[in-house]
Amino acid sequence: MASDGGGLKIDNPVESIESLSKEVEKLKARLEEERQKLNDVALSTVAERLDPLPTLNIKPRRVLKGHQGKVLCSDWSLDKRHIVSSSQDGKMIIWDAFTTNKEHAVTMPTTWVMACAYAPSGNMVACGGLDNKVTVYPLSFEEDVSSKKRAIGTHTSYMSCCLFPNSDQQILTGSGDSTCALWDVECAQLLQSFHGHGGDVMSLDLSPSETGNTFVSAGCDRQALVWDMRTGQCVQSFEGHESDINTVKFYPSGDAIATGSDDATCRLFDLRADREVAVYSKQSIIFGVNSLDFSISGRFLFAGYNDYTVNVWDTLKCVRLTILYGHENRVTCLKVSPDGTALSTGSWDFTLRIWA
Amino acid sequence: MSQVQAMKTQVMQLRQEANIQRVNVSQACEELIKYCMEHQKGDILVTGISQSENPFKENKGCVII
Repeated sequence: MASDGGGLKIDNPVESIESLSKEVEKLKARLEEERQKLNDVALSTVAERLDPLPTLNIKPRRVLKGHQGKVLCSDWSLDKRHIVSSSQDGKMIIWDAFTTNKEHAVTMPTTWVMACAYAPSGNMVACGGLDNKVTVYPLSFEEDVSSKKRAIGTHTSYMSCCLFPNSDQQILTGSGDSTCALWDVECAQLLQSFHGHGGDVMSLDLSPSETGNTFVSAGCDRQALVWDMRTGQCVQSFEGHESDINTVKFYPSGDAIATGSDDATCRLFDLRADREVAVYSKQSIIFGVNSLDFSISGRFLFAGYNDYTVNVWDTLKCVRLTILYGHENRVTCLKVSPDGTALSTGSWDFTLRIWA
Repeated sequence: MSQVQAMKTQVMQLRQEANIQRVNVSQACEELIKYCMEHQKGDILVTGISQSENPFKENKGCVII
């Protein structure tokens, strides 16, 4: 193995595309073989000994109405009370989820605002979409929010997802241009770009582990890639889905990631086993998954589907526990609140709902 | 980036990934379960929330006043 790991120079002029292709195939086969060797048992088998979960006792508590188009993205403030949402109609709305009041409504210079995120301080939100840009809006009641907006970065295609990693100072974005990018908010400068996807990036998540320098991205190349934010290097890649991945989320321990795809399945990939350890699917589920999230212990996996439902899975036993009905069109976004007490969902039916 | 260059990058990436340390799936699963069990007591969606503490419960108390 030392010869493989060490001699990375491949600048021999006779090195052709053909020989490189062979090398790629060989390495992929070896990777698969190495991963398969350690595949000694299924997660659902290991979890058989666990007591079954009590019935999930949540109800629809609030309906947030105000968007005049499909809701495409939403995010909780760390205050567990405010929600930002963005929509196909070009609007971004800041909601007080307790009262259902709209505190701010901002019209973007674009339709399809596909991504929005609350800054950790709660004083700022970021959003963007078909304008290819990530724009931040400092939130204040003194003046019009739009007057303070600042464009931070621009991709060469639509921006599909964004988040603030750890502080208000940086924004991480994913784009239809197949890259992810880390931006400095203050200077509006690119800090690091992340190349490796072979298709549109659809979703991002930051590792909850203490170092906080790892994130995962997934997209239309059916891959989930784990990145080192400081170096820009891809450190792990996971395949298995048979269609586009629309959503990716870290298991709360940071040791695994869950993905949801147009192939109507969710999957769990363990970082240390370096492979898929569970598939969440049923024959009766034939519609794609747009969004997913874990309860704070990781036991529930909530997933929003194109058939207007939210399926609730037991992450460990890999069985579906219940279905949440309410939305009248595709469920596009879904987030457990920061304290783990409530679930927010957004839909093509123009509404958001709070379940608690 | 030329196609050759892109493929060289891919080869290097795969070599790196092929050489990472892995654990058995059984061990990985045990650790996922352990984390969940340690945190399940504090997971309100699992344990249920008392209605008096639920900020999203419907307010019915004030109508009489």
